[in-house]
Amino acid sequence: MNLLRDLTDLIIPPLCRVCKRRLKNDEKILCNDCYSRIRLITPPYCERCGRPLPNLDINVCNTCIVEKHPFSYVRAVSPYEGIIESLIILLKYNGKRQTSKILGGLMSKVVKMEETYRNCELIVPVPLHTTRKRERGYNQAELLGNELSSELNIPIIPDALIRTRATPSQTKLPTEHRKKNVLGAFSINKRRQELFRGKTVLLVDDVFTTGATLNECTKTLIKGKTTDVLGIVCAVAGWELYKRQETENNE
Amino acid sequence: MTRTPFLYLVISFSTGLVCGYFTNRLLFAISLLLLLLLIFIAVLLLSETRPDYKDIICIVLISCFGFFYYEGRTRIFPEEHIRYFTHIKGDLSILGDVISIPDKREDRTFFRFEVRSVMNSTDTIPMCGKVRVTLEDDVEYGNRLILYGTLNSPPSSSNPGGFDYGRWLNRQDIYVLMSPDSLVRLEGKYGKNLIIIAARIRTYIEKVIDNYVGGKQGAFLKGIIIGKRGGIPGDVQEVFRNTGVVHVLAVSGLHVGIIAFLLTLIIRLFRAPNIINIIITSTLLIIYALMIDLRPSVVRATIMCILLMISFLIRRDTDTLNTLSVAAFIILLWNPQSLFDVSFQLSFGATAGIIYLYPKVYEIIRVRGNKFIDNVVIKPFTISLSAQAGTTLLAAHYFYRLPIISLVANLLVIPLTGICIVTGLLLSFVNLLGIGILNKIFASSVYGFTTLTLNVVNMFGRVPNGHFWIGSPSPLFLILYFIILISGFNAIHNFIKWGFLGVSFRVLVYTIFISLAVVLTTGLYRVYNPEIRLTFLDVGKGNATLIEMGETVLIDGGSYHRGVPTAAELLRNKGIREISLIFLTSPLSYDIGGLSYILENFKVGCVALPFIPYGSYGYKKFLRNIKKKKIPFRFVREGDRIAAFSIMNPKGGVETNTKIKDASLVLNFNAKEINQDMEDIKTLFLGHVENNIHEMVEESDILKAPYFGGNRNPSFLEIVKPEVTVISVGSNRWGLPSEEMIEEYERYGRVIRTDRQGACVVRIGKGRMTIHTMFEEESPRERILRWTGVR
Ligand SMILES: [Zn+2]
Ligand SMILES: [Zn+2]
Repeated sequence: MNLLRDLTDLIIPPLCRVCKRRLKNDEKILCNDCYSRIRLITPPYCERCGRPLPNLDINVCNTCIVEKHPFSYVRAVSPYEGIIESLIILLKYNGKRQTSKILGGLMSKVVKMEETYRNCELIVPVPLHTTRKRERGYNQAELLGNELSSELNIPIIPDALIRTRATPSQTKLPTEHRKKNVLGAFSINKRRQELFRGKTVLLVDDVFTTGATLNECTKTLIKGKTTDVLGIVCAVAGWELYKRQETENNE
Repeated sequence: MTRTPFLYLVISFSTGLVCGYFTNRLLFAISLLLLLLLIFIAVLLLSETRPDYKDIICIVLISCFGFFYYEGRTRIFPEEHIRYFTHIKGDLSILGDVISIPDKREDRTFFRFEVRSVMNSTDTIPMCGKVRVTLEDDVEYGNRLILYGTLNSPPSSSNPGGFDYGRWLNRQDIYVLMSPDSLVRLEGKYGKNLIIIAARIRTYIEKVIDNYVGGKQGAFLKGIIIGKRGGIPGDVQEVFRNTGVVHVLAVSGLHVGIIAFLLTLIIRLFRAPNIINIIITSTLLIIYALMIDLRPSVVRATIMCILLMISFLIRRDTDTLNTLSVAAFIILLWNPQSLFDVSFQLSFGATAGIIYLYPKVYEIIRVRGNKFIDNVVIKPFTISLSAQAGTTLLAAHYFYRLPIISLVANLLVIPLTGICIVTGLLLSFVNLLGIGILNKIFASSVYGFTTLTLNVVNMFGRVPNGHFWIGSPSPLFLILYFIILISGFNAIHNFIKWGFLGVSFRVLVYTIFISLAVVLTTGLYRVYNPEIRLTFLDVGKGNATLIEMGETVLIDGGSYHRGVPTAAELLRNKGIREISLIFLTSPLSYDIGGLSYILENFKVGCVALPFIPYGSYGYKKFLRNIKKKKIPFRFVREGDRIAAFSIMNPKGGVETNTKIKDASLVLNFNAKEINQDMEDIKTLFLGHVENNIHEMVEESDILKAPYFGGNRNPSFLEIVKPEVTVISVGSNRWGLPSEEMIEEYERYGRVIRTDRQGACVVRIGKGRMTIHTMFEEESPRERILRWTGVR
């Protein structure tokens, strides 16, 4: 069937999702060039929310000093910028499901490296409201969760949480409204409760901005009697604040 | 690893096809092939992705394949091909199948007929090939018939720049015409099921439109929905051409897009999985394409649509330019001659323009602040602009005009046509339900929208200076234009995006230099090789001669063809907008012909005519037009001289008692009086004179014979001694020209009849004179001069 594949490659040549360059035989979805340009978050980063920190002197970022998150730990693969941003936009708004493979793969690498994640027993994706899910055809967090699940061999419960209210998109709201927006938007799926009672749960989402969504989900899960909740996201937004501080300090 | 492997494939394949098209001399073809390949490879070497030797070998092999493929498909025929039977005079019986959905117009039906055997009184010979049949009877697709009648070769263009019906048919692999006297229908269906379904749907939609809409609107609707352009009146099509929206009449990507969209919407309601959705949509699109008789534009759109759906299914981002090239390659394999078809070129030009230029142009002129303006004004305008860039000059090559109004017209007409198509299709669906009131509602809305569309097009057609007659750009000019267009936009795009100019800029600069060199050399060539050109047009029963001698002179107005005088068509082909002098030899209708049209549509310097009182409608209209446009005119008589023309007849002033014909104009044109370097060639135009001709002639080289060749006393020939005699004539009930007269002319030299040899072009230059008739093959020199746009 090699011939058929070669012919398909001629008629419909595969292109890099981001830079639209022709993919080589060993590349999939993303070209090696774009892949290597993904900026991963390396220490130092905030030990609560995973945001990159300007220097080693502090352990916790400004937002985490002010606000305490209910989840015990969250890590992000990369800052919300460049290639990762394009991939997430493609996944969320352009219906390109395949990008979840790349993003999920990156997330699983982070999870495998971190000691903290060792005792996770279950994966739960942040849910979408049913109407939104029907529009989009899928829940991007669930796709990411599926990738993680197969990479890490941890079972996933896609419908552990239910979004009870169709809330407006978080991305368009200012920080102070976000919390109100998602307040009480989630509930436990009673039929699945037995599966996660007393377990350590890995909560999966695409972007971490203020943490409002993850906070709300964690609270709901803890109400549902889970022992502990850890989070993993593709990208963390709002780290530009630090970058600016950094440049100011340098001057 | 290129993004667009098929683009390179199609370009090299087309290079081969072009070589095959332009020549049938092997040696010349090979040198042409090598030259084109060199240019192609040079461009490739300049580009960012440097090809290795394997790619170059591939390209060469594909080009050679294209060349031989073209030869094989168009010049080599099996011995039992029906085209070898056209020379047989007399009737034949041929058996075969109807292989196209018949195109029914008022009282006649046109269809393609696949021949299976030819029968004569004794036996049946197996045969192949296609015939275009015109019939007064009704037939259906898939019928098996025996036709009885004469076979004819399709006529090729008889005037320079005219529409070549013969070539047009040859491009569809048809070399034989037939209008059978009688037919026998045989039992059984011999068609393909898919086409039978398509034929049924087509007939159904046609019936619905005839029932509910009708008239000009109905014809327009049939044109845009089922591709039946024949019913649209010529003047309406002319307005569409003037406004540059003629492409909406050709069923195209717009239609296929709309239909695919409607289909997926309907199929989605059933919540079928994607793959089933795609299979159903593709099948229906293919049926639609079959319904439109597989026109290049619709096949292109269908293939692209199916490929895009597949790429969606296998979740791949892909390059649309490659998809377009795949479509082109499939069409060219199916019929290599499509490459030279207007609709193929325009369809691919427009699509390539949108795919390639749109993102680049949009980048430059986008409005960032205002989303509304960006979406409603900038985007549609940019799309329209990019499509125009790909097609306008190509279209000018065929239609001779530059419709600048089209930039605006398209913005309105395309969405309106879209609405017409959607409502028209919905009307056909709704009619199935059989609810009378619903039918009426839809029918009136369809009627309303089509009327609106036609009125909008008409309105744009009336805008002053909406289009300019620029003449037909030469192939070389078009090639240079496209290279400059592509490399120019690439260079600007690169500069804005990356801040450097890159290879495209180099290509642009080289091409501009080459273009300047071409302009300079052609200009110099024209200056050092002045030429006077006399074109004796084939206008059937009538006369028209165009003389280009720096200025333009027209002698008589000839006849109309599809609502436009043949002479006007030629003038527009050459991009001539100004005629300095018009001679009218007599007020008879053969001579006036299209002159009124020409007076209305061209800038005319002066009119010279004999003073003959005459009361026909055409003559009165002609005189009225002269007065209305305030054109200087002059009654001429023997002894008058205008420029290089000396008038030999009529004698004296008003001669009421002589016959009109004998009072008609006799002219003598001397090339040497225009330019001393010219060959001394005298041309005598004999008007309609019948009696006493010997009194008004002198020795001449070229004779334009009087009145369809004349039929009176040939004694004047002893004085004239013409080396060449041109007879402008069409089939007529008097059987003119008579055999005897032709024999008389032939005693002195060559005789050219416009009805047998087509138009005749006499070129007088320094120390030479050449004569070329339309049905002869052009000499390589003239061909090269034409391709490069020197003449
Ligand atoms: Zn890439
Ligand atoms: Zn933090």
